[in-house]
Amino acid sequence: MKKIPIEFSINGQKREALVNPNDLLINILRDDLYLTGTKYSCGIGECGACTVFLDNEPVLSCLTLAAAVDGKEITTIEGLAKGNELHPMQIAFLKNAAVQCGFCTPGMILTSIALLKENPSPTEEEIKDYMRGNLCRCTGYVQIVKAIKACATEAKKQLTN
Amino acid sequence: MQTNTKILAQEFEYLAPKTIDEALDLLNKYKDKNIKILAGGTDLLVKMKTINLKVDYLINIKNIPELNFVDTNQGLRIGAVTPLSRIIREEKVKIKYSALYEGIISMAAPAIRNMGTMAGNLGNASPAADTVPPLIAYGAEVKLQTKRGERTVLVEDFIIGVGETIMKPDELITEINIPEVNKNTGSAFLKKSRVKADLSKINLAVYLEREDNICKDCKIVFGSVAIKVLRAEKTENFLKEQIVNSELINKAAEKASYEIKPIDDIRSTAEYRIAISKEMLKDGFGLAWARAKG
Amino acid sequence: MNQFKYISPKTKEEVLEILKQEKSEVCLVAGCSNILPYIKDKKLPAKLLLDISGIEELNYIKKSEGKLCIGAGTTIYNLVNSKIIREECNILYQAGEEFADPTIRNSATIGGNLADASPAADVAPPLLVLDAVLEVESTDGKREVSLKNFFVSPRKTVLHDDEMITSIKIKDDSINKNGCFIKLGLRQAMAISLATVALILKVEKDKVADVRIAMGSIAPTPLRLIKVEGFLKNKKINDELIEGAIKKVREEVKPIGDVRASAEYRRYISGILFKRAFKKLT
Repeated sequence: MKKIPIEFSINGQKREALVNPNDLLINILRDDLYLTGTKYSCGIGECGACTVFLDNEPVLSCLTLAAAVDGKEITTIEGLAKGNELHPMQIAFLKNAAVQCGFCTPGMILTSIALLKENPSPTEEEIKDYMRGNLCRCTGYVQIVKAIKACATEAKKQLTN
Repeated sequence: MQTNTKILAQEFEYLAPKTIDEALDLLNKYKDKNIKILAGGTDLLVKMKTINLKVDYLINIKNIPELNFVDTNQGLRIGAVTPLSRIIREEKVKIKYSALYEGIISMAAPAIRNMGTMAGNLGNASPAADTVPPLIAYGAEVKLQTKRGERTVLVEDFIIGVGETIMKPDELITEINIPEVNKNTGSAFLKKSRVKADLSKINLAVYLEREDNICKDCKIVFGSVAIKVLRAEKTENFLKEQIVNSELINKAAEKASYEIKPIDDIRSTAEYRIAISKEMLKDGFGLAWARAKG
Repeated sequence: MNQFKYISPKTKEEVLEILKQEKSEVCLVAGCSNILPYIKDKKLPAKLLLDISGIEELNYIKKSEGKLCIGAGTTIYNLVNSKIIREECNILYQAGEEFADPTIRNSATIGGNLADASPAADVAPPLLVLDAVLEVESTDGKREVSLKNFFVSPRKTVLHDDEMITSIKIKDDSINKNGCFIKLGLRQAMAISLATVALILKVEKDKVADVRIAMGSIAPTPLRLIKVEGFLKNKKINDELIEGAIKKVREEVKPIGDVRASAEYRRYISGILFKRAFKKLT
């Protein structure tokens, strides 16, 4: 296989790599860059655990070829916090006990950030609909929905202040 | 080879053309080889991982800017690799092409819709594809290009079987064209699935033209009920030029349930599909009817 | 549970006598951490459980005559807490830290892990790169077996059924001090290894002066990657060398697919683990 040279930015850092055609983005993230916050789970696009931002939109890294991210910006869960300051969604998840084993959490957080960007005041129904591609086997989803709602409310409060 | 999904355990060459011409050159060069065109990858990569679909040359067209557009001037012209999520952000799609809008938002989940494309949904040619019934209902066409020239095919004629299209090895879908709709038309899309993110057990697109209380014309298109998406033509003819009332719709629903040819499979049974198709017809037709302002 | 008799002798001689008499009817146990599951699953064909965990003379770590000697009955806990091990062959300490969990480490022994001969035995790759030699005894006398020649197939070794490992010997060598062990499991503790790498390296003037690599869970037995060692020896260390070595690693491993991973994934991740270990040491 002929290797493909790629340039991309990962969590704000510019990087170069020489990848195999069959390297998946999730392989590069976890195995080369040690960014293991993004999780392998179903591998076929049904669980959302491998969610990352590609040019600021959520995509599934287990179904994205590394070669295909040439020239793009990638954000993983590790790229959300600013130093010790957690992202408001991360804080909301912690405050609302929306994390049990934590395996689905990175995907949940990234997807819910994308949700609030598109729809800053979603109803419970809208939250559940948008998050339907992210599966959780521990929590039963109740606290996750609560956390997202809380984050939306908090953001609204910040705006009006 | 054992199924595994953590890595893509097969070797192939990767090509990423930047223009349509480059892509057509590559398709021509490798037309006798085992090539597959990659857009979103949400179907192709899954197949390569799970059923060991062998690919020797993968041509990624997702990054060709000329293929990524939505033109709303006359009807809808949608570039082949336009992400599905971009299509539904167009006001015109939401307002005038309800069935297409509803079809797309019924698909999987936001991340998949950011990756997936309409051309991919067509090229993959699953009988369960959710963009296909609306596209057929609207009379949409696919533009196919090669180095030698181009041709346009009705979406209805494009898919001929499970995973089978009329595409030649060196052809590339470049755009999908949907004709303009006028005020006295209405459309709707319905889907039954186990959970919202799932593939359809059965789906339906209805598109009709209304004049007062007469149905001038209609298209009734079911998915997941045959080897390819099926137009219920007998039901359409039955409804054409008729005064719409509940008796008519009930009869049409009955007719439709006889026209579809579902099987038992992992997602549902033929019996369920036939039974539910009647309710879907009534609901779908009713929705489209209410939306038409004839 | 099976019906079996249980004896716990106090001396090595007693053990060897019983082994000579009862041979394949005996199952030699120390920590029992792997044996109890077999017993519970009724997979233990032995009639006699011979418990050597009480034999003090098998439990030691000492240096003598330019060699590091570890008694076969030494618990992993003792290995991990031993200053000598940490200083002389740190890679064995690293493996001990990844071994099961603290509770198991209190009872599991180095000899037991070797004699059980699982392809996933975590002490095996480090001991293979340390060129360990086993002292094996029976009533007929002693013999030495190089660990390289010890494993035959999954759960099978060259031990005769009247023999017992009594000690593990590691020759003094400066390269032993520069080692890296990495274990990949499906979770951070109490995981049967999906793949492991043990690497010791001597670098001189940017070149690989000497190198030894062994991997676990990627072949029927723990494996020294001789071809990779040959590829790396005397070569200048750069990215190209590493990429080439990764390829060779993936060619030399012989993994199967099982409940923990597919063969393809093991082959792929072997290369990644090698790269990580190599980069850590260079």
